[in-house]
Amino acid sequence: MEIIRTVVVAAFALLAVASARLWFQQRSRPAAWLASTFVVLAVGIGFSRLGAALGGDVGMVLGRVARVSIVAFPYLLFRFAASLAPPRRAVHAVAAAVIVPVLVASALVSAPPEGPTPGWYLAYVLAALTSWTLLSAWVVRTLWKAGRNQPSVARKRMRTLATAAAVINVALVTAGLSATMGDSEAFVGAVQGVALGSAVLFYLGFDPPVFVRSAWRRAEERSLWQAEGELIASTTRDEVVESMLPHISHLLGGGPAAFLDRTGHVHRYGRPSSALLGCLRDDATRYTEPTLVADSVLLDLNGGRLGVVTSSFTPLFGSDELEYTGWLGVLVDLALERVEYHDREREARQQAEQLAQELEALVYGLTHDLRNPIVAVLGYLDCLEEDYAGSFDSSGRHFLSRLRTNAQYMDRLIADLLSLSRLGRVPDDRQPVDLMVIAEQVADESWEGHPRAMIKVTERVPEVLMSPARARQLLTNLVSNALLHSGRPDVTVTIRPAPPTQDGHACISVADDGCGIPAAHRTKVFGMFERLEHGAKEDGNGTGIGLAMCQRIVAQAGGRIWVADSDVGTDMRVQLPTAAPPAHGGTETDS
Amino acid sequence: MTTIHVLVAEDDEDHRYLTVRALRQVTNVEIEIHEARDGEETLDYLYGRGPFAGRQLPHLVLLDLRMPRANGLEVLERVKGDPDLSSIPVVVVTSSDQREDVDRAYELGTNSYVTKTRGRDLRNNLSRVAQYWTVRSELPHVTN
Repeated sequence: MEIIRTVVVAAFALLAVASARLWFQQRSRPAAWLASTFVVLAVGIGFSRLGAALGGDVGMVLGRVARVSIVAFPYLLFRFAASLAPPRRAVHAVAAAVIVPVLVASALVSAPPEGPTPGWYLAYVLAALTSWTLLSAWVVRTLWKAGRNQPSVARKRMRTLATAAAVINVALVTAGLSATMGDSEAFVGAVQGVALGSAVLFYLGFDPPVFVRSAWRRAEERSLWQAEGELIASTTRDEVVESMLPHISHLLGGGPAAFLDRTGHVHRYGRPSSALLGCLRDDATRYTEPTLVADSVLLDLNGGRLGVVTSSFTPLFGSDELEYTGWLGVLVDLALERVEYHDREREARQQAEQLAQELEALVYGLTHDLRNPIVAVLGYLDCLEEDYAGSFDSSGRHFLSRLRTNAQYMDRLIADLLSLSRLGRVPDDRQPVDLMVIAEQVADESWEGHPRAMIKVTERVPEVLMSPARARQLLTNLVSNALLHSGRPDVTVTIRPAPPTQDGHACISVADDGCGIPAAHRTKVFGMFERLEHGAKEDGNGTGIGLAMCQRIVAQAGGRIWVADSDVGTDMRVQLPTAAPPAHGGTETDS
Repeated sequence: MTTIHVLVAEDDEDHRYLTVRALRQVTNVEIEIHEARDGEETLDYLYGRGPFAGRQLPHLVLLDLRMPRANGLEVLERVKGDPDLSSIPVVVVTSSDQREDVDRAYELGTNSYVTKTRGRDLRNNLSRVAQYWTVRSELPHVTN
């Protein structure tokens, strides 16, 4: 029994220390009342034991102090609850009216002598028990109801305190009754056990361990995961803020919330007061952590300032929630940064698209306006030849011929430049393409201008991944290049598979039996306007753009083009990624 | 010999001259050529408005694409959308070989699309166009 009594005294002493520490940390009125409550109770319990041990006059004095302390405890607990949820003035008056006479009586009354309990003592005990019960009932009801709209941890802490208050009241009342009616050791032990239980509950309400908070916070954690998901999905500043405000508001008591962003726009949740809005705009102080200012929590983020109206319970019960708010603030900042980056990227992309459209229109108009005069020049040259051919001597006819050659060359040049410029502006709609099918079509189209040439397309290669339009342009240019630069009208051009130098790629060869390209020039030929022969303007010669275009097309498709060694003529190799994934990994090898 | 009426809609006077010249070189058929210098004038002629009241509806229209006041595609859309005019063959004759122009012209109902510089021989090109649409093909009867 002594051990239990000692443990009870120690438990309430620890409660007194914990509540005093809380007051040192917060310096708030509720914390002050809470500290007063448990310091006084600890004094009462301690002095009661000490007085009983010492006896005599000192013991009597200590006993009176103990009685006053224990009687005052429920009233102090009432003042603590009233500081969180202020009652009407009448309730205060009734509480004072109930407790003051009992306190005075406790100070004056001494323990009755041995023998039957006098009636006045019974009356005193009854008054004390009634005051305890009434005050405790109000405290229990107030704390229990007030927790209804609070976040999980705060709600459970308040209800734990309410339960503890009810339990200790049972212990006090039972102890009071047993003192008057005589008690057995077992009964006293049970009362001490109940008191100890209430101490444990009070401690859980003050400062629950981490594992208890985690268990209590499950609902909030689910909500916070949802909030994180909404943040990740948000694509605009408004979405980020408006998805977070309800969660933060709920975390801190469900009050109105507002966010003042860097553009000066205020996002609202609920109906924030003018006082809160004023705090948002007051930039005299910076709040790098969630900070209680009057009845609000303020937090400065990179994207603006957050303000949430809190409940009166937040300062005492909302330490976890304040920490979570800070953590959510970091996530909000990251989301706002991401949104800002996307906004910039979207704006840049829109500008680029607009520029591309303007460039397309410009090129289209320019090309048409450049080609029209050339068409007229060629047409009038035809008229001159038809109507005045007999009037020209050989020099005149030569001049006419050179005029025609230059005009036709300019026309070809404009057409090739237009094709080259479109490479960067048309969508690269990559899809599986059968190069040999396109090669056959190109061969059919190319034969008309070169009736003596032979164009052969042999067996298939695996489909490659590229734009069909660009594949056609590529093969047209390669075949045209072979027909134009072979140096012979009866050239044979063969398009066939070639061994790829890299896994996951297909390779074709476009080879002719013409004059070939000297080894020293095999990389130069892919340069813009590069030619290897004289008389570039003559009809039938290229503009020097075709192979440059081929290289660009192949590079954009992720492949490469080169001139392979060949005993006869030119062997152009084109290697492109296949449409199907490679069967196994491999390394690039040189051909 | 039946007289074929051809409307040449072309804003560039040089191109218009060359086209008319090519048409005049067509033998075996008598061709009367009418000229319009922009899109609005083309529509005025087709609808017989203003100075073209009492005109003869053409049996064939050679239509340039880039013209002021109303471009060739707008004229083509109006003509092919009008039941009174839609039977008249329209051949787009233009220096544009852009894919989108070709596609759009056929979407709107052109009967043929000829690029002036194809084969780099404008005269022969225009002559072939004129020969085909006036001598070899059978043009519909059009009534005012």
